[in-house]
Order: sequence, then C-alpha cells, then structure tokens
Amino acid sequence: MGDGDSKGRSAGPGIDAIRRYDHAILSARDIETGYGDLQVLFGVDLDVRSDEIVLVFGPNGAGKSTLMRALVGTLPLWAGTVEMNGDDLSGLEANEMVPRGIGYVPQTENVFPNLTVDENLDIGTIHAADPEARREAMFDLFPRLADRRDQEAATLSGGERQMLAMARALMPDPEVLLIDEPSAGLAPQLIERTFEYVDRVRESGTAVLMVEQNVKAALAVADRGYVLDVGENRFEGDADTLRDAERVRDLYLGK
Amino acid sequence: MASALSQFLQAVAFGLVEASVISVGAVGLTLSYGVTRFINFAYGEFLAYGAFLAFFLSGAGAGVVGLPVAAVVAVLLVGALGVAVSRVFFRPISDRGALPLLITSIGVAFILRYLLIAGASAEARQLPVPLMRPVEVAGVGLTPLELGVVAVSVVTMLAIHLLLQRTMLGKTMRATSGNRSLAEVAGIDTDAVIRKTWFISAAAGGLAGILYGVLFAPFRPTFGFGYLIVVFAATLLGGIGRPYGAMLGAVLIGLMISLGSTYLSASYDQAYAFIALVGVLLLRPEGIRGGEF
Ligand SMILES: Nc1ncnc2c1ncn2[C@@H]1O[C@H](COP(=O)(O)OP(=O)(O)OP(=O)(O)O)[C@@H](O)[C@H]1O
Ligand SMILES: [Mg+2]
Repeated sequence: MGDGDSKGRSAGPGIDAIRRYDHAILSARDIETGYGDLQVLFGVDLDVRSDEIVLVFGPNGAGKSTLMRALVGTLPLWAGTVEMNGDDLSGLEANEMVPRGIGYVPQTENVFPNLTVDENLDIGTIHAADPEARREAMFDLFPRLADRRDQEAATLSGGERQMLAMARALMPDPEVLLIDEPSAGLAPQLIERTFEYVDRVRESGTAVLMVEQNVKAALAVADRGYVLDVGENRFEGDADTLRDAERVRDLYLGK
Repeated sequence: MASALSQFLQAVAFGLVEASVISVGAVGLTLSYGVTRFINFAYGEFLAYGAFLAFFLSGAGAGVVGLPVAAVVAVLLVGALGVAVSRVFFRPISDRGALPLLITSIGVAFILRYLLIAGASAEARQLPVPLMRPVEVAGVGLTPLELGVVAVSVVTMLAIHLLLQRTMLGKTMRATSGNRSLAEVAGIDTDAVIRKTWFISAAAGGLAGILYGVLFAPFRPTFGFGYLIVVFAATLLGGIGRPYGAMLGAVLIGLMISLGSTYLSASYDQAYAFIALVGVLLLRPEGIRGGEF
C-alpha cells in the first residue's frame, strides 16, 4: 500500500511501519531533541513529498510543536538529521531556513502584533523573489486581509490572525509550509475554511506539513499522516488508512 | 500680567529646548530596550563620550575640524562604541535574562566612565560655540544655538520615524521588538538587526550628549550618568520600548524641569525629573514593563 519505498523499521506494510521516502523534499531522520535536561523527541522520522499535505497528530504534550521547532532550527538537534532536497540543514540558524524554501507558522504568537497587516507581509518579502506578485496572490487567497491592510495585527480576530500568519509565511513562496494547529481556537465554520486554505496552498504548489487536533477534518484534506506519542512515531499511513484503522481510532481519534 | 505670561512662555520655550536633548537620548535608550529587553545603564556614558569626542575633535581640543564635522564623526564613533560594548559585554550573556544584563550594564557604565576620566581628566570642558544673543519673539527669547538644538532634534526624530515606518531595517527592528523568535523564523537575521539597533541607539546617545554640551557648558565626564535619570524618566513616562512615547515623555519632562526651575527653585532641576520618575513608577508602573515599537 502507498507508493513509498517501504523501508520502515517494523516489518511489513500497514500503519505500524514508518515508511521512509527517497524522493521527499523535506526529510527528517532519527530526530532527538528537548529542553534542557528534558528529552521530548526520541528518534522521529518524517518525510514530506512535493504536492503532499502531511498531518501530524497525537495527544497533548506528545512533542508535535517540538518536532516543528526542531525542523525549522529554533531548537538544536541532539541527534538525527534534517534534509531539504538532499541538503543537510542541521546547524543552520532558523533565519536561514526561509531562503531554503521552508515556511513556518508557529502554534501561538505567529504574527507581529505591533505591525500592520501590510507590514507583516513586508517582513515576508525579505526572501521573496517577486514581492508585489506574492502580495497580490495572498490577497486573492485571503481577501479579508486586503480590507485590513493598515490595521495592526494585534487588533485582528483570531481567524484573521491565522490567515495573516499563513500569508506571511507564504510570501516567499516556500516549497513546504509547516503549520502548527491552524484551526486551534477557531469557530467550527472557520475550521473547515482553514483546511480549504491549506488545500489551496497545496494546489498552488507548496507542500504542507500540518499539526492538527481536529484530526477528522484535517484528514479530509491530508494525503498522509503520522501519529506522534511521547516523542515517537506510533503510526504512519495514508489518510484513509489512518481514518479507518481501529487502533488509531481507539487511541487517538475518539469514537 | 504681561510679564507673568511671558515668564511662563519663556519657561515653556526653555522646556522645549531641553526636551529636544532629552528626546534624542530617550529615543536612543528606548530603541535598544525595544529589541534587547533590558535597561542599559551604560547608556549615559554614550552621552558623555559624544560630548567629549566632539570636544576633542573640534576646535577646543585637537582643533582639526569644526564642531559640525566633529559632531558627526563623534556620533558615528559612539555608534561603533555601542556595537563594541554590546558585542563584548552583553551578547555573551544575552540569554541569561534582563537582570544579569542590567547589572552588567551598571558595571560597563563604571568602566566607560573611568576610562573617559583617565583619558580626558575630570576637568570641566566646553564645546567651541559662540555666545549668542537671544532672538526675541513676543517676549520669548531663544538664542540661534538653542533653536539649532531644537532643529537638530526635530530632524533626528523625523529621521527615526522614517527609519521605523518606511525602511526594511526599521520594519525588521520593529518585528524583532514585537516577537524576536518569530522574526528569526520569518527569515530575519535578528543578530544583525540587534547590532544595527545598538549602533543607532548609541549614536543617538552620543548626539544627545553633544546637544547637552552645546546647551549646558561646562560639562564633566560624569554628566552622562547624572543626566541618565532625566532621560530615563522620559523613557519610562512614555513606556520603555516605545519611541513615540519617549518623544512625548521628553516633552513632559523638559517642561517639568523648566517650569520647576522657574517657579520653584533652579537648584533642583534634575530632582524634578527624579520626582517625575518616582511618580511614573507609582502611578503608571506599566511604563517600566514596556512595550514594543
Ligand atoms: N519551552 C519549553 N521548555 C520546556 N519544556 C517544554 C517547552 N515547550 C514544550 N515543553 C515540553 O515538551 C513537551 C512537548 O511539548 P509540545 O509543545 O511539543 O507538545 P505538543 O504535542 O505540541 O502539545 P499540544 O498538542 O498541547 O500543542 C511537553 O511536555 C512540554 O511541557
Ligand atoms: Mg503544540
């Protein structure tokens, strides 16, 4: 099943095997990291291929946000590697990830509160090849933002702020967008909208790695997913497989 | 009656002149706070170094260049001094939190001050500015020199405003101030931004010191530390880390010092700033918690 090379550590196909993909754009291998003496990740593997939406889910405190921070270099790796298109990214500063094609939207505090909508996007132009075209593309994707160009980000609603955070990260036209719980704290109608946006981001040619707690809604747009628990991958599989797998459902999706 | 009014207006005019000096100093202090999140007590020394470098470079000292050129060179040198000080003393401990940085900055202030005294002696100095007769308008008199100080300050405030609002450097400074870790993952080299902010902050301090030297001659190498209280009061009044607040705070403190000196007693001028500072801490304690710009 799946079209990846099955090189997982557990034998055989299915959700228990963590498949590794040879032609991924973003690849993490055996990542370990943590905070001070506290180890949070214990050898995580993860791949994102072009045109994919990949979901990471799991219980609170599993280390999902920590994994994102490790991938973008805000947390130093204790062990393992992160590669982008075959280039080793370990040891690079977080600010050097953007020119390598990685966009990142943190779970919280993901806009510059003291900057206007336009100025937040200006920050995104630093590594953008064609800033004005990108700005127009963002306003096409999020028309709400165009109406609020001169408003300070601190005064935006939660949904608008999330749009701005995505737009800022998308300004440089990244190859892969990492986004941590985009639907957190949003009203039900907005949650669906958020995943529509994620889908459109993928359609525009940017792969997406998304952490989400609204797993059912997220699996509707995702291609594949990983279940992270206590700092380790428990399962990996295609969206359909994960949705239907009894063990995943029992442990992580609720009935 | 008319003379009471003109005395008041004169006091206001002097207050605005002093506010011009305070404003340049307060904006510089607040910019470095905005991105580094600690109060730099060595900032007063930037004022002293500005005034003394301008003194030695201009006619009164080595006599190589005129005061305007000397002032520009001195401002740039103090900017470089700020970068060097932050590199040597502050950056190595930048992840230890605000308190170690603040205490270190007090130590740095002593080092810089005694280096200056060792190099320049504790003698009082004067910048080579001519004595000028006040120009009177409607009973209010200011010398062209005082008006020049106001003009330099207004131009500086305007330049800082344009820097922050219109240039990419200014926007990255504000972004770094608002959320440093997001700035980093958004692709901003925040170390470079902070380095440039140190330059601008210290250079503003140097300029404030030169303006002080123009207005309040003679001055000693210790004046910077004393005047830091005044600059600090304005900074806190406006909410530390907020440049526009610092400008407003400077106007209020300048007026307070001038009106206090006119109507109460001239011998306590800096005490009025200190009273204002205590008042701010009592009535508006959020001023010291600060914000971003
Ligand atoms: N800055 C930090 N310092 C110390 N420990 C941290 C820090 N951030 C997270 N942790 C710890 O690391 C573990 C994993 O946290 P993380 O935020 O990665 O979890 P998560 O899977 O994203 O959870 P959630 O679903 O609640 O967002 C938790 O035990 C947490 O307490
Ligand atoms: Mg999280």
